[in-house]
Amino acid sequence: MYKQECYKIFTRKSLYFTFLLFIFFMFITGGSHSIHQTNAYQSLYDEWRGPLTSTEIDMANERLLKIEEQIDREMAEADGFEGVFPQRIEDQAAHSIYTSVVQAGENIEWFEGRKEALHNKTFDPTTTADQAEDAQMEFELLQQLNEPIGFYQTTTWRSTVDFINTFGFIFLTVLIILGLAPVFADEHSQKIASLIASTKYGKNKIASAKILASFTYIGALFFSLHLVNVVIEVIKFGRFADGTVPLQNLYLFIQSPFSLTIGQYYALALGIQLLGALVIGLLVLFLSIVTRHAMLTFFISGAIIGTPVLFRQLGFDQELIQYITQFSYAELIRVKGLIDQFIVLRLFGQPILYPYLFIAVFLLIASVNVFLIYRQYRNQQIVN
Amino acid sequence: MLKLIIENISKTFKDKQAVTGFSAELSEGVYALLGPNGAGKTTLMRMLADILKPTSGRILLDGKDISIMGDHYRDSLGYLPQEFGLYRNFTAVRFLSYFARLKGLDKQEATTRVDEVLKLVNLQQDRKRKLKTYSGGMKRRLGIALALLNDPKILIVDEPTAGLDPQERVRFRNLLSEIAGDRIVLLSTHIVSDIEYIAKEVLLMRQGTLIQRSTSEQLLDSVKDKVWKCTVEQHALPQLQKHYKVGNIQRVETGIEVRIVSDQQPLADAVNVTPTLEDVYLYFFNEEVIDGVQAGML
Ligand SMILES: Nc1ncnc2c1ncn2[C@@H]1O[C@H](COP(=O)(O)OP(=O)(O)O)[C@@H](O)[C@H]1O
Ligand SMILES: [Mg+2]
Repeated sequence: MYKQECYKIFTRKSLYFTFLLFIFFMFITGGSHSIHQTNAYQSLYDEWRGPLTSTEIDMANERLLKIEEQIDREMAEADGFEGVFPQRIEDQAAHSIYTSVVQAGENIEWFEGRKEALHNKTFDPTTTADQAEDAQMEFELLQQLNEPIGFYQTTTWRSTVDFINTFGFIFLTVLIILGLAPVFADEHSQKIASLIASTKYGKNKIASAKILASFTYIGALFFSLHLVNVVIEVIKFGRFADGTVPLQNLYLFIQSPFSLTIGQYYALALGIQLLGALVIGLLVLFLSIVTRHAMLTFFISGAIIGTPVLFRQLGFDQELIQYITQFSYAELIRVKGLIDQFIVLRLFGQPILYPYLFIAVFLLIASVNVFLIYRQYRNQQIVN
Repeated sequence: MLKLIIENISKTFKDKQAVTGFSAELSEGVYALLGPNGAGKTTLMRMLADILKPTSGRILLDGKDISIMGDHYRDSLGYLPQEFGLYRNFTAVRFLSYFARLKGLDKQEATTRVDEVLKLVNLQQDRKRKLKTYSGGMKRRLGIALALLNDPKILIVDEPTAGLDPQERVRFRNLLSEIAGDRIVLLSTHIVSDIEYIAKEVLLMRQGTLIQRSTSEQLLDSVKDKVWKCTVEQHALPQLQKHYKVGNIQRVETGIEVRIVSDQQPLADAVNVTPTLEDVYLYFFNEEVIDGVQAGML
């Protein structure tokens, strides 16, 4: 049964077509940083890579100023000619590196400032007990990070990690909905439902076979999508480097309070995204049973997953709606929002970190969903 | 001894009563469920196939409620719906193997059984063909093969001959009597000639209820003195059709020969003739089923 259910999903050409379309899209978007591949850049990079002292940051600042003066000069001399400034590759590499180092310096300063603010907040007489407790919690997490920021060349990692919360989650969601919407619904449109439901295992084991086949599809889709992405990232940005440095070195995660390396985050994010993909798969399967219509399933799933995203984009995320936007399928499969900031929620007065609560909530949703799938499927009445 | 008891079954769709207080006891043998379109045959059969819950009433197999038996009941069930589809991209073998597993056969049993049923319905030559290339008759035969995969004790086939050409219909009837064996076979039809030879009993169904249950002989007997034949002129026909249940109409040299089912002698020169099941049908279902009768005369 399982094998045939897989056969039904995996022989649908439209899925391969969509997959290839997405891959093509991944290829053509986002350019490479050619300067990073030059020798001039690499040798200077080796020199500066790593944690930064304030003396080093000051030095970078001075050198950057000099290069910028030089750029002004060159531009004045070239007067009217188009071109890249500074003109020498070495100067370009230096400009790029010192800019990044200076930026890293600012990030370090910002990070320390934040810690201090939190520390002060715990003593501030105007904060409530809860607020003070939250601030203390965040402060302790940051304290454990132990000067995480330095200067590292993480472009390949950044882009790879970014894929999870940009195209990755969108492509996955679309292909999951596209692939799974017909799983139960098409038995009706193909007029096979009554044949199946009148067989011995047609009300229970078949549902398990369909769920397993759907998970197989999601797994295959997930791994091939990320594998292809890794290959594309390497082609665009070169090999992976500095995966063992703290996550906070990726600018988008500078506010994250969690002690993870970039590589660890990537593994964790893949795990959570796979979980999200499976949970979304269960939602689609359930709708496929209820609506008995693949198109309808497609649109309703799309609406359920897309609406909270839309609300957030439009800024409707106050009060009650906040719970909808905070605990949405899209946030789960996007992963980033769970890790990139400190959010603490209160459950029966107890503070609990958002990602933990979030995962717990969705494990619960998934279990209920599985239960509902079996119940709904077993009890369905077939009249056509 | 197998015993299927249908106990006062009703099914209501919103405000439409499709089946109303239907009761019957069936044991081994072929039963024909005969009734016009909309009589509730399909609805009744769906409930027997465990894919539709009765609004009230119970169905018992050997004393056990089938809604409680669940898998065990369906294990002894073969059901072929009135309308069904096939996976267009599956071959016959793949399709049947899939259903063999659904019906609880293990891999080995499935392989041999699929071969057997394909032979039975004479499709072994086309076993490797994609189902989208199958003709209507082949699809029906494959459907029968599918229903027989698990060697069911209860076989329910809903209008199996609809859409078959006369030759295929004869072949199908023969197949059915061949496989009847010691099962309960319930087939529905609105085509009288289907059941003439094979049904042990006929259940007449009308507007959701069982109106009569008897053997074909008894049925024929019940209209014995009520079937008439006479020859009239063309212009008298409409008047006749208005007042009587008129069956077969045939043009002859002297005018039009009509067959009339009526308790009293309709015309002075009308003579009694030997009834057929078509007359029975006409007698019980009258104008609502002219369609069915004509289809039956093909
Ligand atoms: N799903 C449904 N919803 C509403 N009415 C239905 C449904 N299925 C059948 N009916 C009605 O129930 C009656 C019996 O239909 P059916 O069982 O298909 O009869 P038959 O098979 O004898 O032609 C018909 O009047 C039909 O319109
Ligand atoms: Mg019907």
